Amino acid sequence: MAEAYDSVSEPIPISLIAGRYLLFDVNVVTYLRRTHNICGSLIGGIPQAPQQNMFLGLPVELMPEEAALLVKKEIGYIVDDVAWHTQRFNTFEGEDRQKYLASLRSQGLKARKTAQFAARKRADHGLRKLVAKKAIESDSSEDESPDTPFDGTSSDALYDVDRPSSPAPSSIAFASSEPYALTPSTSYSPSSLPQNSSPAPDPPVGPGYALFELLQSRGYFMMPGLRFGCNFNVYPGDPLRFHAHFLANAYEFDEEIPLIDLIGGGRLGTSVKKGFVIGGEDLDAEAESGRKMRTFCIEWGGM
Amino acid sequence: MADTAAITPADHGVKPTVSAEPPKPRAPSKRDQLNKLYALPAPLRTFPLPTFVPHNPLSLFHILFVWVAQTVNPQPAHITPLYQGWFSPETRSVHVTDARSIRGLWEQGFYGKGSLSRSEPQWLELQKTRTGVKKAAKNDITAWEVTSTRRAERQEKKWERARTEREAIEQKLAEEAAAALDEAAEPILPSDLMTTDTMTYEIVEEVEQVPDEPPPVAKARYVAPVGPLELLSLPNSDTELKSSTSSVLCFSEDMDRRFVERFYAAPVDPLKLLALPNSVQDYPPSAPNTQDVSVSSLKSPPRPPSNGHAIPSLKPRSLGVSNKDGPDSEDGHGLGISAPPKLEEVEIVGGSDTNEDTVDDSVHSTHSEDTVETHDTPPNGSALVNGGPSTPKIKRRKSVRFSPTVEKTTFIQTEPPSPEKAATLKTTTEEEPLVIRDQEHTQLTLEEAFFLAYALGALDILDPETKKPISNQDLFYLFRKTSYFPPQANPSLSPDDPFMTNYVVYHHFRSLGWVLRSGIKFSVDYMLYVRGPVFTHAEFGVLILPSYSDSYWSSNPFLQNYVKSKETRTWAWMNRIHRVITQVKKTLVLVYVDIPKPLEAEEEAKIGIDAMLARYKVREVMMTRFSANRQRD
Repeated sequence: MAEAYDSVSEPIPISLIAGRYLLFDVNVVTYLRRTHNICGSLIGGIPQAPQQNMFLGLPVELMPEEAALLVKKEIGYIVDDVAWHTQRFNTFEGEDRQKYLASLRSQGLKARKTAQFAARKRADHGLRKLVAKKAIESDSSEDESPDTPFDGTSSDALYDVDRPSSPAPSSIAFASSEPYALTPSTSYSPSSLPQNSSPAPDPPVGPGYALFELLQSRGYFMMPGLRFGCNFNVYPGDPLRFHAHFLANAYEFDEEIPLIDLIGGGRLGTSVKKGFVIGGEDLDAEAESGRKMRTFCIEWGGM
Repeated sequence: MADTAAITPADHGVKPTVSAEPPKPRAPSKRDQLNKLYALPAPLRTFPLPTFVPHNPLSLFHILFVWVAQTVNPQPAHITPLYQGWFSPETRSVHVTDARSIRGLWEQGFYGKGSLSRSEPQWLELQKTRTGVKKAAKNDITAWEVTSTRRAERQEKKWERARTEREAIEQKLAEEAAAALDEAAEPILPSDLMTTDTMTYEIVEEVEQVPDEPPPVAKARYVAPVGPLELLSLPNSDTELKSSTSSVLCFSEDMDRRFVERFYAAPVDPLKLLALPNSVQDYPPSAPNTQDVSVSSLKSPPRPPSNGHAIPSLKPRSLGVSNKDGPDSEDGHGLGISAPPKLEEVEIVGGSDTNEDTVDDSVHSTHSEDTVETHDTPPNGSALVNGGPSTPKIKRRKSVRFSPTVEKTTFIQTEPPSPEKAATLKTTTEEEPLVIRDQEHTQLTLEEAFFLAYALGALDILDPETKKPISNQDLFYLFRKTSYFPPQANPSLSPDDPFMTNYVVYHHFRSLGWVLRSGIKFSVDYMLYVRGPVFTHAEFGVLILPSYSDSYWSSNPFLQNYVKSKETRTWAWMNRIHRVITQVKKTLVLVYVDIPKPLEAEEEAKIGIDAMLARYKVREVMMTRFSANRQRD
C-alpha cells in the first residue's frame, strides 16, 4: 500500500459527475488526506454491510471549495466524467479497444489470483489446525486408533474419512482460470487521461472559499458543516483523531449579518464546546498583500 | 440547616408536639399564590353573571340583579386609570416607568422586560435584599436569585469535574514520568537507585511536614521538571551546573526573599487579583503586616487551581493564624471572627450573629439559608467569582451581610475578599437606613406596546416631546417606521416591514391565549408560554418567515429577485436553529406570514388598521426531526 500511496502522481483527476466532485481511488484519497489536509467525505455504501449508513466507503465526495483549492494549487484537475466517457467510448476502436479489454482482463485475472491465493491459504490453515487437533486426540487415546495416517498432506486422509469418493466441487472453481468480471469505477485508465484538458469549468465557490483557503493554509482540516449549521467544521488535525474546534461561517465583507444568526451560531457552538468563527474577505485591502481575511471567534457567555 | 436544627434542644422539644397537633389551616401553597397573583391573563377585568341554578329560582333574581346593575352602572373593563408608557425612539421600545403600570403589565399577561433584570423587573427587590434593607425571608427568593444560585452550583460542579480530570491527567503524567525515570536510572546506577529513592522519599516527607518550605532543589533532579518554577530553576549552562552546590548553600539563606518573590510574583490568577488591595489606604502600612499579607497570599498559592488537593496541607497554618485574632470557639455557636475548623463554615462571618444566635434559633436557620443565597454571583457577573475550584468557599465570607451588626466587619461588594484584612482592618460603615432609588423601568417591545394599546386598549403611549397620548393610527405608522434600522423617515410602507410581520404573528398567538416573549436568546423570534413564564417553561420557539404567495410578488423580475432575497434560507441555517431549539427541549414552529400586495397610502388610511391586519394570513408548521433511534420509545 505504501508504494501505491507513493505512486500517486500530482495532477490528480477529480471526476465531476452530476455536479459532485468525486474521487474513486483509495490511494489518491489517502494521499490528499496526508499531504494536503483534504479529507472530503465518504459517500459510498460498503458492499459487506449494505444496510447501515454509519460507516461509508468510496467514493469520496469533495466539497466544491476543496475541489477549487486543488485545482488552484494545481494538485488536481477536474474531469467531466460523463463527457469524457462518451467521447472516449465513441472513438474506441481497434487496438485501443483491444488494449482496454486486455487491461480489464488482466486486472480480473489478478483479482482472481489474489482470491485463489487467499482461499488456499485459508484452507491450509484450517487443515493444519484440524491435523493438530487430531494429533492431540490420538495422543490421548492412542490405543484406540493407533495407525491413523498423518502425513504432511493430510488432505487425503481427511477426504477419505469424510467423503471418500466425490471430488470437491469447489476445486473446479479453484481450478478455473476465468478472470473475475470487473466493474471499473472509471471508464479510463489513469494513463489515458488528457493531461491538460480543461473542459470542465472551475468549481463554483461561494464566499466560503476565501475562509476555506485561509484555514486550510494554516493546517486545519475542514469537513462540511451542515451538522452544526455552518459552512465548515474546522478540525485542528485529522478528523479521525480530533474533535472539531470551530464552526466556521463565511460572510461577505459588507454583508449584513443578522444578530439572531450570531446568537444562534454562538449558542450552538458553545454548547457543543466549539468556537463559532465568522470570517470574511476584505476585498478593498487586497492590493496590499494577497488576500486580506478577517476572522472572529464568538462564544456565548451566559451558559 | 439540619445541623443547627439538631443541635438546638428547643427544637427537639417542640417537634413532637407539633406533629401531635391536629393539622392547622395551611398557608396557601406556592402554586396557589401564583395562581392568585397572576389570576388575570390580560389587563382587563371581566364581570361574569352569577351561575344559574335551575332548582333555586332565587338565583334567577340574582342574575337579573347583577345584569341590571351592570347595564345601569357599567363598570369599566379596563383598569383605570390606564397604564402609561413612554415611547422611546432611541431604544425603539416603549418605556414604562411608574410602579403600578410595571407591576400591572407584568402580572396581567407578562408584558415587558425589566431593563436591569432578566425578565421580571426585580432589580429593586434584589438590591434591597442584597444590602440588607429588607430582611430576606425564608422563602422569599426571587427567581433571579434561584437562577443564579443554580448557575453558581452548576459552575462549581463544572470546576470540580475539570479539577478531577486535571488531577487524573497529572497523576498519570507523574506516573509516566516516574516510570521514565526508573527506566533511565536503572541501567546507569543500579546500586545507587535504592539510596536515591529513599532520599527523595525523605524529602517528600519533610515537605509534607513543613508545607511552607519550597521544594528543595535536589528534588528537581528526580522529578521531571514541568512546572514553570522548576523549569526556571534548571541550570542554564554547564558552569551554573557546576556551581550549583554553592547555590544550594545560599538557597537556604535567601529563602525568605525567594519565598516572598514566589508568592509575590505578578498576580495573574483571579484569586490573587482579588486579594490585591484596592487603594493605598487598604494596603497594610508597616512591617508586622507583611507577614499577614504573605499568609493571605499563601491561602491562594500561585499554582493552577487543579492542584486543589495540595491546599489542605496549607490550611491548618492559615487557620491557626486567623485563630490568633479571635477567641477559640470551634463549636456551632461560633463567635466572631474566629475561624471555624472547616473552610465550609468560614462563612459565619464575623460576629455576625453573636447576639442573634443566642436569641433564638430561627435566626440561625435563616442564617444558613442565607449562605446558600449569597453564594450567588454578584450582579455585575464577574467571571472571577469562580476563579478556581477552591474559590467559592472562601468567597462566601464576603457576601453575607444581612444583619446590621455584620456590616461592621464585612466588606463592601467592591472590596477584595480577604478575611485576614477583615479581621485587622475595622471598616466603619455608617449604620443609617439605606434608601435605594428604583432605577429600573420596563421596556415593552413595539409589538407588545401596540397590542396593549390597539387590541386591548389598556395602555396609553405618550410622546416624549408633546407628553400627550399617541392615537392608534399614528402609533401604527410610527412603529412601522421605527421597526427599520435606521428608522425610515419617509417609509414606503411596504406590507412586509418587520413590525407588520411580527405584529401579525404576535397578535395571532396572543389572541389564541398564548403568552409570547422574545426568543432572541434562542435565536428565534418568539417563545410561546402556555400560561406564562412563572408557571412553565416555554414550549415552542416561533420563527417568523415571510411568504410572498400573492401573485403580485411574482409579477415582475425585480420583485422576484426581491422575494428571493427575502425568502432564501439555507439548510445549514435551518439545522442550526433547530438544533439550538431542541437542545433546550423546545419545539420549533415555523410561522409563515402571507404578505399581501402593497396598497397606496390613501387606500391604507381609508381601510384602517383592522382591515390592514385582516389581509395577512398566518400558517404554522411545527418542525421536529424524526430520529429513528430516539423516537422508537
